[in-house]
Amino acid sequence: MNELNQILAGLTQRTAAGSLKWKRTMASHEFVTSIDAISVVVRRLDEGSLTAIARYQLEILNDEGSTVEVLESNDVLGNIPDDRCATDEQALQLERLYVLARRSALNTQATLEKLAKALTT
Amino acid sequence: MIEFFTGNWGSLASALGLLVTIAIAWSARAASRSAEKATVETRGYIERHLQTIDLERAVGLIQRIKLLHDTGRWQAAMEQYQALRMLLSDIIARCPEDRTEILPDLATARILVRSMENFVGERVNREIQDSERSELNRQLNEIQSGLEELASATGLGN
Repeated sequence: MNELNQILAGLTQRTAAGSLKWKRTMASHEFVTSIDAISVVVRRLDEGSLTAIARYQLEILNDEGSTVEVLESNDVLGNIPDDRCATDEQALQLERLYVLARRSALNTQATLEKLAKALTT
Repeated sequence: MIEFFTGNWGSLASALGLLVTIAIAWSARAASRSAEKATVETRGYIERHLQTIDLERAVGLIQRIKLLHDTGRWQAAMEQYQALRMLLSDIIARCPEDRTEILPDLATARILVRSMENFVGERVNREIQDSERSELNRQLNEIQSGLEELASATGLGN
């Protein structure tokens, strides 16, 4: 768990600093980045309209492309197995990472700057 | 003087023999290092050459997949996604040590292809929209230009 905390913190920090670029995949609400040959996928899990609480998942794949770790925020019923269930703190960090990854993949900042500039001229 | 040589002939011969042995060993070591360096260089060249060939094969595969997209042959495309992912894994596994900076792009491309495969697989019984086809091709084009840049940067295709 300690390593996962470090990984989450490192990914969040580097994404916020702009040194880690994410890409959108074909799945809705899913983004990917890689460090060396290790890939990280972050996604928002679609729970339908039954719950208003968004859940997030982190998947880590090794250099062969196999999933080696999955971490996800708990659901309302608490059905997520312990070995992949994020703590409350990790769940918050996961949500923050998702938001940053999405901004990176969609180039949100540049779009907002462009729009603001267009509106002021 | 002559008396000294006569008296110590055995010792002098041993010392001379030792010097000759050291010189031979030194020379052999230098030759071995040189051969080792040449082997490493040759191996590096072959790895780069194989990598360029694989990169070009991957580009060819992407072009084929785009054609399958355009003609709506989704089942055939599914098989090619798998082949492309495996090829990308081979390229990653064979990546020369001095070219590791290309690994993140290749690893990300592998995940993007996996996502395409899942996306098309889930829509076997539902028509894929034009906008979805465009997005698939846009992502493939991006991967293709990345691979072409890598192949060109490797520069050992000939």
